[in-house]
Amino acid sequence: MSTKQSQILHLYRSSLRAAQRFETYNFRKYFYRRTHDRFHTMRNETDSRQVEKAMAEARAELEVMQRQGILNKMFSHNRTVIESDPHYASGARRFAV
Amino acid sequence: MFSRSLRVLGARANRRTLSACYLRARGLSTTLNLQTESVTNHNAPVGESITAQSNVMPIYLDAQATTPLDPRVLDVMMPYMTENYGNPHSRTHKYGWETEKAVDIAREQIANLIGAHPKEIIFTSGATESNNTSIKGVARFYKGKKNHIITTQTEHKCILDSCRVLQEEGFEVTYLPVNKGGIIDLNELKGAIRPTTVLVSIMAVNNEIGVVQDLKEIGKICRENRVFFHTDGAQAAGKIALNVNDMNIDLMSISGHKLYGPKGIGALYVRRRPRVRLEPIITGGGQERGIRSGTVPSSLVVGMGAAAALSARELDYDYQHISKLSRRLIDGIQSRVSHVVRNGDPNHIYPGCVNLSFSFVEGESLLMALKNVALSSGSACTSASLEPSYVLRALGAEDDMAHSSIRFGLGRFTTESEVDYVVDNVQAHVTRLREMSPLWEMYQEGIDLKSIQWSQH
Repeated sequence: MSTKQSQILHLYRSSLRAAQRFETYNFRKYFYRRTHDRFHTMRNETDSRQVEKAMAEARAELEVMQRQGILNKMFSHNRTVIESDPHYASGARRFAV
Repeated sequence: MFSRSLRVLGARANRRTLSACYLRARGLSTTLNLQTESVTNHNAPVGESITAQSNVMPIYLDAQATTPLDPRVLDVMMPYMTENYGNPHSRTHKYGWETEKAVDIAREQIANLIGAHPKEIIFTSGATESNNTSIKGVARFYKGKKNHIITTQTEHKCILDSCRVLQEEGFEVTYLPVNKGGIIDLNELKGAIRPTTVLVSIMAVNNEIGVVQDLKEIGKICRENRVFFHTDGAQAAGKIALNVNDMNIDLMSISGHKLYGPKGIGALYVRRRPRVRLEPIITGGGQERGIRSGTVPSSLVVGMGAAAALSARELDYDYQHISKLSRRLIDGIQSRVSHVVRNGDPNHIYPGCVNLSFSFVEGESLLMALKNVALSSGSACTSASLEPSYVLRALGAEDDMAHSSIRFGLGRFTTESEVDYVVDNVQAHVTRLREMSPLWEMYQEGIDLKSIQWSQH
């Protein structure tokens, strides 16, 4: 696997992990889905300048998600009704407290 | 501060110790009230609400009332609420220059969202203030020569109230009716325009039923007759594509908190070519082209700009997601529950606003029953009174249908699981309420309810 590909994969996995760290159910689900979709739409992009631009954007978004994940954890203490219901939501996060 | 946390993140520290040591280091409490009260089993009988507990919140399905602040927007706002606290109008020092630069960037972001020039954007305290400024301001400026205003019956309360105030000042106002689908008749609009008409105000997307008016045609008619066209774009900006030049819009109100931005900020677009003159409502130091004096709240403005830029980028993605959820919600409910009517013309409607009327069920009681879902019947502005919504009455809905309507507001952050939960709950509660309803019983027996002579007590 080339370094570019492995870089992109590393960025993808870090972004997904950062998305999983949000405390608020809606943000967690949204950022996970959004990250997944953004990376998948750029999957077959061959123009290296577009790829570079997308990667720079992804890196900036990753930093935002990390900061906001921490802030979210500091200030949130509410749960949504749907989170604990196994019938509806797979609301469990990877690193459940 | 964050770099330390990020370094620890990079070292793959346990998240619990990261936050605990971070908080302890700053003398803050380490016990966040996360799951101290165990969440009870809410597969229990229908009607029991676990939101009676302190920290469990209902599912949020009221996007027309307000939207959550997007974390990416909060991220952009934070520096302006901590370090960069300068007044953007201070010309003499770096605090002012930096804040002014940020405000200018935000202005450009909002202008790009609607296809305007940055100089045409005025910041206000919200869409209500923008509506007041545009309607009262334009009308009063041209008072000598023109004194007629046209609006619709389904407008937001602030516009209807501004028109009422102007009527007391001596203006004439025509309230255009809407058809059963909520759309105005363009021929009626053409017929209502007089030589003394100064302004036409028609909202782009209705906040109660979600119908989208044909802005391009309305703009064309107004431009031909040399009448100013104002549109309340609070529910439309960032959700559907808007271009003030294509649609010949002269004035537009935008609300920050409907765009996943902060509350307390809005914008007013005022066209410069051809120039729209208006009398300011709030006078003072002449900020914002003299139209709205007062210090521009830099943190809120920066947040609104970021929200606008985000919406412009995510418009298609969000629209697709919300359309999918909307289809799922409507098909789910209509396939499981009979006698459900969607208010609003389905061909000209924003998918994120789903207003359904359930026959033989009272809207308020259904709202009370759906305790685990945050919904609204009618708009937040009118929900205090017990009257049925004037918008539904303007659609020609009968009183019993108007009383039994619920508005589901889907947003960027709504998930499919939430929609499924809502569909199941709606089915369960509507069925239960109908079984208790004598009218439903009579209907099932084949009695025509309209033929009943109700006795007076």
